[in-house]
Amino acid sequence: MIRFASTTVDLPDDSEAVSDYLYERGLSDGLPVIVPTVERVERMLSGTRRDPASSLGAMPPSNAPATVEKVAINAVLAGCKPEQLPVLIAAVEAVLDPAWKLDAVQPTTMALGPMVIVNGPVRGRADVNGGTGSLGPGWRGNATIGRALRLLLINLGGARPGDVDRSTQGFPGKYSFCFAENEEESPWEPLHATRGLEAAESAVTVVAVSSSTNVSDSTDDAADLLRTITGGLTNPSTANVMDPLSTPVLALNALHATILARAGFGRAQLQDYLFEHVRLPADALSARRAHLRRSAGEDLFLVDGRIPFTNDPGNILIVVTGGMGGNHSTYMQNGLYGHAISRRVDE
Amino acid sequence: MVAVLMPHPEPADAVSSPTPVAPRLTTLAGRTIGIVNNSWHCMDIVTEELRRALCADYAVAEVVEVKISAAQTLPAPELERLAGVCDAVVVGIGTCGSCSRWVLHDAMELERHKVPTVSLFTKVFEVLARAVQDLEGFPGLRLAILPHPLNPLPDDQIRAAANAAVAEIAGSLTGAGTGAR
Repeated sequence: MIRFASTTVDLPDDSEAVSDYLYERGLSDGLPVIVPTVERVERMLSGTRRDPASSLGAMPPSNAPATVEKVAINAVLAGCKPEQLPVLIAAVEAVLDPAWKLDAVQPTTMALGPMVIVNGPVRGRADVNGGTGSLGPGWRGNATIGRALRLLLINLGGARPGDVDRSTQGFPGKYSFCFAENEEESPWEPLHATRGLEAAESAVTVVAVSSSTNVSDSTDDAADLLRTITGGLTNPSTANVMDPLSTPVLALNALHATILARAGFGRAQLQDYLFEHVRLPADALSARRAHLRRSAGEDLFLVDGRIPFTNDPGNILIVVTGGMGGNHSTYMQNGLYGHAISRRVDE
Repeated sequence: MVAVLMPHPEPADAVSSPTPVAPRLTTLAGRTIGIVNNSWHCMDIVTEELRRALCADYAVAEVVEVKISAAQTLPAPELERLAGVCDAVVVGIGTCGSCSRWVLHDAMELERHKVPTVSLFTKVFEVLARAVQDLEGFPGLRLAILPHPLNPLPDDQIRAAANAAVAEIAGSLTGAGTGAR
């Protein structure tokens, strides 16, 4: 039996009663929860070899230690199964990397929230969908891993929406945003293998995004498709363009990726193409927005006389997800904080 | 009834004793005052007005401005330099969620260096500033609250808001302000 460090409260083993109890104390995303009894949290911890008392780091702004025990409690609340815990642990490690700047993501006025991309064999065990409907509902891993991460940010980090979380409008992706790469139907190497990890191992890549834009084209012609993609990404209104170091995400469905691969594009060539072509005129930004972008460094404002959506082609995250059925890909904007971080899933 | 494990931080993990702020100055006259300007357009204008008013009305000897991006904290060498040459520092401005967090971070670091500070926020972000003050165990940190929205206003209105806040800002550095809790 595990000796837990967390406070316990005697309550009915009843989802409605415990959901109400936590909701009234601001420990909630608003949805009902599974009751984190000692037995359920012990079962959750069977999904990892980590010591429940070990800490993944201090979670801002409360700076409370994100112990494996606290991660497991919030995983139970969110409806996770033990098989999903290792993915959640890796995602927590990613957002606690100082370079991810969770300190700023938590209170930001922007809509930014963490989006978890899962690669490798764990996708099957953790029931994370990367095929048809991967950005939508229907799979437990997609639904609960992102939710558990959000609950940790609120319950442990202290980022209560409207109080510390100052997001002006929020974003539906802040409830839960987790999906897998469709490695099986992707024409390219897995995303994590381009980010310093072995293709055979499992990994998460976590990036803060603030909205999603549909990129739709039923063409079979790569040049046509590139024109559509470039048009969708060339957007002067998002926070992404305020940040020369942003890590914008292009989530291509497997069919779109295949069309581009047939035309000779690998990931790196597509990154270079987008870097060269997704450019705004120098006067595209309002005075206030130009002022903010310039504050990152005057030398970063323009590249060859125009404003790129990120100043480094390597920062453009290209992930293949969704089925082969159709014409729809997605652009998701990053900006200022939550730049992409990848972490191995320790199974 | 069952024992339900709580998902929140444990009381033992909370900050146990508050961090004291630096002693306030007895006067601003003849002193060197720093201003950390995080590059919001409104903070450019607030800085101009503060520089003028502190020198003209409070006999401040010198104002040292450090300009940084709204998306960053003070680089460590700049923080050390300010702490070395300034008798007190004004840090601003928190007028978004993340930049408010950075303003608080820089003010707390300067206070840890024994430099009295006042942090500027627009009204909407006061609740965030107070919450982070509590979480970080810095109840004595001095805040000066300006109207919100401020950044979109015409320059003359930003100037007027800055001038209306000068007495509070100056008072917070000498202990006369009302920004303490």
